Amino acid sequence: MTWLNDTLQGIFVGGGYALTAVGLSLMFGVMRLVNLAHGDLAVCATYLVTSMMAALGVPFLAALLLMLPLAFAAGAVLQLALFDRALRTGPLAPLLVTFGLSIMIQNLLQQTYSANVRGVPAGSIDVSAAHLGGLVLPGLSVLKLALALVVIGGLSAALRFTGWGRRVRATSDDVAIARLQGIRVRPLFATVTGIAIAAAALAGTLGAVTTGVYPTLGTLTLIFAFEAVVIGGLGSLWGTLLGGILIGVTQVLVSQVSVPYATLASQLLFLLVLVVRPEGLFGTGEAAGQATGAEA
Amino acid sequence: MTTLTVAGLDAGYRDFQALFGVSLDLAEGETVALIGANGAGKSTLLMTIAGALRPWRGRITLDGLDIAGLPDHHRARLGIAIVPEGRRLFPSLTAEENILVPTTGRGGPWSLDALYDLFPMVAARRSHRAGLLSGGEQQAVAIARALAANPRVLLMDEVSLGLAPAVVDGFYRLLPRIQQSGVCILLVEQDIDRALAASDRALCLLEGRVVMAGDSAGLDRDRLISAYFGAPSAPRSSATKTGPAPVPPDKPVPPGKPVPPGKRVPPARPVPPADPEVPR
Repeated sequence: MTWLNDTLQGIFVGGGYALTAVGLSLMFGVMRLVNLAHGDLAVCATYLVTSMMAALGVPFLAALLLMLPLAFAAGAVLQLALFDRALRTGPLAPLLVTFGLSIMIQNLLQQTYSANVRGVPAGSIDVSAAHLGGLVLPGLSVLKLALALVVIGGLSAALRFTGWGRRVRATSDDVAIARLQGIRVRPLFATVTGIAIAAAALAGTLGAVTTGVYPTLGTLTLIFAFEAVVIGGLGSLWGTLLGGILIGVTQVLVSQVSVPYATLASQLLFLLVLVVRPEGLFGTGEAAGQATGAEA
Repeated sequence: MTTLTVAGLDAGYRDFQALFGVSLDLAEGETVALIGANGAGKSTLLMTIAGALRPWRGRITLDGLDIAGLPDHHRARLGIAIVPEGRRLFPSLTAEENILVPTTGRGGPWSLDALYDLFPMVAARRSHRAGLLSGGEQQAVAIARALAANPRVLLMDEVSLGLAPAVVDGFYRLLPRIQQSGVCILLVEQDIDRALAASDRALCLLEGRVVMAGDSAGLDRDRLISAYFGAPSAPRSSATKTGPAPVPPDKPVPPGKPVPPGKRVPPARPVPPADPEVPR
């Protein structure tokens, strides 16, 4: 029963990873853009939530809901002002631009908030939990997994069934021809990045309730999210969910034996997938081929 | 009433100029065939009109509005649609999704039902991924996708490329139904006889210049073939009289499209005499 409960906790942890990673997966799938500042933007949002709670005196969930449209807008503005230009100049520029953005954000946060770990007081949802037989259902973890399912499910459905999704997929297939069909690519990409950053901001803030937040947290966030995307298969949203869950389950199970080896175990899982199935579990090989083709 | 006017158009790719002072106009409901060898600049002209390429010089007007400086998505909304060379469908979308992609906000006769009525073979394969369809089916989807925008001007680039003659015949039999919808068509076609039969007027491009133009029914076929190959006896455009020496257009030939010997664009020649057949 302990093992079953550990696996369940691992799935919950993985849901958080997947919710962070889904934006990374979406941006890579649609624009072939690897956003190295993804985790740092999530950390920014977390600090914003703590600042709003302090300044406006609003509770955690209210501040979280207020932050989401701002995160969407920040993503859209970044896309229009920065990433679009970077994408136009070739495959190397987006990596450099987002890496530079990551460094700038980390240093700005250190200047503003100091390097100390800061708690995110979430009130009752932090400590609430339900018990079902021998299983523990922590309220926050259940919320994160549920949000991951809702966001990934909603995004998949929107991409599959809406006109917006059709335009996104068409543009991902062939940008030049999509333009000739009357599609305005810049605003379309801005919505994609807005959604990606908002999802990361949501995941990062909920995750920081458990771990606390510090300026360099984004790097760690990015690594786990990146591994979830690669394990699941580049550009596949459901694959990203599975990748996140596999990482989470591995970490929690190994940490029952030895806590220091938990992170190492997830890295080994990542390497194993790269060796055995480099295109990822749900990858077609097509996206990976396009990625390397774009870099050639 | 002139729908589309191109005047003095220069265009190309980076260092290579592919079009030299090209002028043409399309009247309401008219079909004009664009004839020329590989590398003559036909596809470049279509892509420049559609907006995928920026013109270097010259004017493009649609219903009197200068569109040469407008971005491609804007031109699509104003009513320019293209069936690109090699079809270029969105391979991961289904046939129907491809047809639903154009977002021009233009109303008109070409609803999804009307397009399925025109191309029953597309209706039968509507939920298949475009990348998995046969060449003929893909071409039908590409034409349907362009018509779905309910365009004023339809640019059709080598619809017959790589298709069986019977399939091509099928497309050309449907052309009158497309013409009846009031759209004007600029048609690129390698097969001269087919191009002349399907069009009201024809233009011949050689090395990026219009070297011959006239009513399709009245064009002298031998002279047209000479113009097509750039044979020494062919009359040539006066457009080059004051311009620089002709530069052979360097557009790469797409794979799977062999160039018959003798169809290659010949190297630069001396400045030719004026041609009375080219409208100035």
